[in-house]
Amino acid sequence: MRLKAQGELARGADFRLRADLDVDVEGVAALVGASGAGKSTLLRLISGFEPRAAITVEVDGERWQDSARPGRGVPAHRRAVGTVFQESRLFPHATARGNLEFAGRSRRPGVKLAFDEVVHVLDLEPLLGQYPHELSGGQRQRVALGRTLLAPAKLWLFDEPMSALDPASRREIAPYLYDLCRRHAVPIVYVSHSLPEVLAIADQVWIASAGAVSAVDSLPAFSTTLDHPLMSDDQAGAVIACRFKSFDARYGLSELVFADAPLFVPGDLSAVPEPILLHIPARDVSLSTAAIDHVSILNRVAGTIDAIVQDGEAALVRVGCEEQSLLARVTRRSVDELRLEPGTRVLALIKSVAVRTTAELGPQP
Amino acid sequence: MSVAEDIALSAWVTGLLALTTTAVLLVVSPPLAWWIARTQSRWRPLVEAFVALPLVLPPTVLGFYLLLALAPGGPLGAIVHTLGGAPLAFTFAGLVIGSIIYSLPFVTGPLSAAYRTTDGQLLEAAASLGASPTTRFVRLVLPLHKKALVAAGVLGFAHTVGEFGIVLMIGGNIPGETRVLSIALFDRVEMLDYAGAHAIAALLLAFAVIVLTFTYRWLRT
Repeated sequence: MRLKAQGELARGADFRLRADLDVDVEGVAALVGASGAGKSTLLRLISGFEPRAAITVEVDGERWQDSARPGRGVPAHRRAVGTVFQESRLFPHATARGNLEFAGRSRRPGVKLAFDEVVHVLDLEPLLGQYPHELSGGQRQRVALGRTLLAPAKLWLFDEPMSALDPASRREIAPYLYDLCRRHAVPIVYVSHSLPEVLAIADQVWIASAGAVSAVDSLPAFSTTLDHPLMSDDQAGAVIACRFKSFDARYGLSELVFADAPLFVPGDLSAVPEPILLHIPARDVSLSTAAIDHVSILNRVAGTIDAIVQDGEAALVRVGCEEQSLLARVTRRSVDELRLEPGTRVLALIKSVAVRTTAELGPQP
Repeated sequence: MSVAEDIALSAWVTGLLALTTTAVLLVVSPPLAWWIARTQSRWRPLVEAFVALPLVLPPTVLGFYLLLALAPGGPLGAIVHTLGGAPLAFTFAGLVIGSIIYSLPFVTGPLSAAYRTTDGQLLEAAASLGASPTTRFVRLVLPLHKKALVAAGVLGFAHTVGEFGIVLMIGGNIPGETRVLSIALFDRVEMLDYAGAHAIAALLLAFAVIVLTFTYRWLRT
């Protein structure tokens, strides 16, 4: 789906959204950025809740809003967009079932899921007869998610839909969304503040900053941007794309190929569709300037440093390996002692990798 | 006609008038109140003023203009006449028209006040689920403010029961047709029948106290 949003929205003296977005949305696009960067406003624009904004919104060539004719665009209810808001926004006078059924009545175009499937996967059956005020925050958000999935849509916009959920429900629901998105070819734009969440479900990442969407990256490119908004997370590190080579049943290790080097990963990955995405936390990568043989770490990749930034007491080093990059978090003392600088050839020693597959994320529905 | 018969017949006319008027108002007022609560039209203040007129004008003023309008030579009367209808002045139908106008602010006012408090986030959520403005009103706004609708209906009913000036101007005093309780009371006093007047006055007072007490109590639950 081709999505365009171009123009400028000013609200008050200190809020400006300079939208300059022209992307092919496929799969899950994570929208990240500091609060106040305009993430929610961008979603509101696409949904049709800023009809008077002088911003042109175009979806698959269909002009929903025209900066030259504010207030005259396609009204929100005719846009085939389903939105899950930060707050559940359930209708207080209706039961969970009433809320879900409200969504099923629209005849606008788009993918429409079966009531029973949504109820089953989100485990809403026990909640159907209850009113919103009788539900917990997480339960309300699950009903709201189900309600949005039941309304016909060609695009789903999720504004931190999981922030109210406990980690266990998150792990269950995230893979379901990921799977839905692919099965029905409905792209999702997903606002997130959580790096693990982004790593788990994003295919591309949009970075919002200072009121503008400034970059659209693939997940590997985003993960190795040294100053991205989620870099402070403990899990920060490169996502790399690999090919499968073979599985060694003796050790239970799959051999993958990354930048012409072998990478050994536990488990049989022969059935995982390529490219296989691996997430390598920067804290689990060490650097060496000389070849070392007598060490237990199996995964060693040669590369060239292309950037070093200070990261608190430590330093974040980006190592280019062929077309892709790895990130390593090392002490500043190591940087000085090893005389690390852009251009230095190093060996990256990788202590842990996590495979990004939907199977890893949880059970399939 | 005995006092008891007079009261019974007038109470019947009053009840029928109040019911008919309330039924019409419950259809007309919600959309009008919603429009007033939501519109950004520059005509809103004027429309609101017209709706609120019965609150400030002596009912006789409204009654006088309605009488002119409903008379066979008046604009409304002429339309009814061309359509082959009977003249409206001094009929029950004329009384219904007058009552609708007279009680309109008592139903529309509380409703638009309630509608103004509607959570815009819920309306957005409904729109994002594909609900058109009409669907949002019928399936979200009406049920959200169900209590306000019932309260406004009760208020409209009670207020219609208590009207006097307009009825006197356009309805007159035809037993079984336009003679309502308030007119019957006035009539009894004119005839110096204070005992009969007491009976009617006490009935109206008791009705008002009971209805309002129960409504306010119910609104709090």
